[in-house]
Amino acid sequence: MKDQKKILVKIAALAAAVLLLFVLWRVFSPKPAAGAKAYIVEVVDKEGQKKTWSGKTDAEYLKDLMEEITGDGFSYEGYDSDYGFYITSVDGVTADYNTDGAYWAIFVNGEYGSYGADQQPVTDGDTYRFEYTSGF
Amino acid sequence: MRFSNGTRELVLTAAMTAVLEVSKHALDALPNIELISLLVILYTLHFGLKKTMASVLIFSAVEMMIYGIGIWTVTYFYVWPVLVLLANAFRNHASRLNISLLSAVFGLFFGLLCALVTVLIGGIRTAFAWWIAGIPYDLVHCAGNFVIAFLLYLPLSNALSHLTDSVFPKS
Repeated sequence: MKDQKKILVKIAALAAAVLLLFVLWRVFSPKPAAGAKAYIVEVVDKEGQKKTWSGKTDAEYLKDLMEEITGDGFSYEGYDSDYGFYITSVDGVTADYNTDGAYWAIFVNGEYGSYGADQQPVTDGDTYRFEYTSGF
Repeated sequence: MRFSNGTRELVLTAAMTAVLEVSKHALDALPNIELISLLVILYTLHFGLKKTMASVLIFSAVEMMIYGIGIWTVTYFYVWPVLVLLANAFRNHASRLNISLLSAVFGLFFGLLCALVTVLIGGIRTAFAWWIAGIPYDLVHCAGNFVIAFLLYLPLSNALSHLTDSVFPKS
């Protein structure tokens, strides 16, 4: 009986910790804005050449917007990693971190982004820049 | 052929590291479902703090050689040693439930531990945002670690007991 109570207490403590993290995530994770939002997407390649796409979108997250403009001359490749969607190639240019430390950085309104493309919310008037960044 | 204990320990540490490496890459396709946590706990309980600490540090170095210097490869150098210390503290309380809970809690706070290094790169705000963004992955990690430890702790622990007896026979 006493052992059963101990087991229940331990499992309840884990459940409480899980719940706490879930609540923190719900409260503090970035929220996408609803409705048509103006956007600018820029791609700055290896040589510093810039291409721009702009328009209105209902996409909630940047990855949805990337999908939406694929076909309008924009293309990307990547994969789901332990830390979210990892972009390997934009506009046909592959950044190979293992070869020369290069990666595709995301800037939001000129500031280095804190989130992957699948977690970066799209908000009205934002500019998203994909910039080929060489690590070494 | 007889080998000294030093030779046996060296070979055992190398084999422990190889198993960590293989099990990591075998499950690479499933984000945050991994066997490393359980293996590190089992190693600590069966082979001791010193050999396991050496093994996880070599494992972290091999990962850095494969993937280069990045946030997560740097975090490995302190995240896995933390688990070794925690597992060592559970040495006298190593029931199946306790080990499953330890593994689950470690998975749950894995992102928080990893975020510590991002404090140095981008400050506390960036580290906090980075941790919060990864919480869904931590929840999967927590559930995966619990289930894996609950199912595999006892059979693997028995297998390692036999192995320890054959590698280091009590004379």
